[in-house]
Formats: sequence, structure tokens, C-alpha cells
Amino acid sequence: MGEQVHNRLAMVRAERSVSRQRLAEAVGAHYQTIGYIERGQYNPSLDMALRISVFFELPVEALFSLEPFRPLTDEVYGHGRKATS
Amino acid sequence: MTGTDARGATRLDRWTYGRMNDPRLRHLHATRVQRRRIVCAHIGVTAVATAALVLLYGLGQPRWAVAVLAATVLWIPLTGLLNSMTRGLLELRLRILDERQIAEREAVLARAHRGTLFLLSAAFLGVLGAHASGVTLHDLGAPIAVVGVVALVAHWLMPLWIAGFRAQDECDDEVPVTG
Repeated sequence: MGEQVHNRLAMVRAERSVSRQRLAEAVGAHYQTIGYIERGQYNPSLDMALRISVFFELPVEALFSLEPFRPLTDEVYGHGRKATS
Repeated sequence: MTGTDARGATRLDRWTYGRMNDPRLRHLHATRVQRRRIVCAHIGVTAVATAALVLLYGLGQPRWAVAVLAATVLWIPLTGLLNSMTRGLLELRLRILDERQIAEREAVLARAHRGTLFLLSAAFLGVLGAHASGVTLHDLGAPIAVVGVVALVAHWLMPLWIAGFRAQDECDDEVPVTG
């Protein structure tokens, strides 16, 4: 596999309080596979990426990207804003 | 779907999957050091069993049967541990493995194939070299037979050893709690 596919799986899973085991059962994968995907050690097939996005009811591009994801705070609050202390 | 919900999965498939994914054994191979020790122990016990079997056949002395038996008694649980640490990667049928496991199995088999090819090539070159230096084929019969047995065992078990070396630490699978 040549290209690294970046993902936000761990973050979304944490937000929704979903265990790896539960997600794996929902998408028909071994629970270790979810960990491999989250760590970027395995790029899921389109089929599995779609099944994961359906499970979370999110568009697939919200979870997987060929480019690194921007930090969520950047996306929500925009670029270049100074952090307030 | 894969795992025990896989289409066409039999009762035997589900039973085997359960044994290979038994969480009670996880603590025995949780760390890389533990897994390496198990693989090395398995290689060692396999070597002892193979050597004892060859000596039993070659010398016909019954004491080597005891060595074969003792090594086998150790070999069986070690093989079980190897299968547990790889989650049955090589034992389970394809239909109950998921896509990542199938890719991993293919990678393991490809590496094992290369390893066996290297071993056989070295053995072949060794025989050629010995013959070229004047050893007759008749005298090479016994060494060739021993190398054949070793190559057979390596061909059989190398995928399991490679899969064991490649196995990774288990993820912490607690349900994440958000603030």
C-alpha cells in the first residue's frame, strides 16, 4: 500500500463512546483491525471505510482523507486566530 | 461480514475462532518480549523434536523416542500460544478473517516463501559444493535426507514463526470516556 490514508477514527470513536470491539462488530471486522486503522498501520478498503462512515452517520471524507486533517479547533474557529489564555 | 458472523461460517469455524481469540491467554503474550520468547522456544523445541526424530530413525535407539515425546509435549501448548498470539491468522479459514487479516496472512506467507526459498537454495548450493569437492552422491544421501526433513519442517512452520514475530501489542480496548 503506497499512500497513507489519514483518519479521525479514534477521535470520533471517543466522542461517541464507542469501543473498538463494538465498532468492529458493527462493520464486520476483527477488533484489532480498528486499532490498526486508527494507528495508520492499515488502510481500509473503500468498502470498509464506507461501512464505518455509515455506522457513524458521517460522510466518508469526514473520517478519512489523503491529506492530514487540520486540528479541529482550526476548522471550528478558523486559521490564524490567536489562542486566548 | 467476517468473524463468527461470516457468511457460510460453520460451527467448527465458530469454535476455532473462539479458541484462537480466547482472551484468557492474552496475558501470556501481551508484550513483544513474551512473544519473542514463545517463538524462540517453539523454534528450539521444533529443532529438538526434529533432531530426535532423525536420530531415532537413523540410529534406532529407543531413548530418542523419549526425546521426541518430551519435545512434543512442550510443542503442542507452544503452538497453541502461537496461534493465540496471531489470533488464528494461519489456522482460521479465509471466510472468517477480515480484509486486514487476509492482507497480513498474504504478507506472512510471502515472507515465509522467501525464507524457505533461501533455505533450499543454500542447501542445494551446499550439496553442489560438496559434490564438486569430491564427495560422492552416495555419501551425500544421508545429509540430503536430513536437509530434506529440515526444509519440510521449516516450510511447514516458518509462516507461524513469522506471524508470531510480526504480531503486535494488543490495543487497550476500554470504552473511551469523554469529558
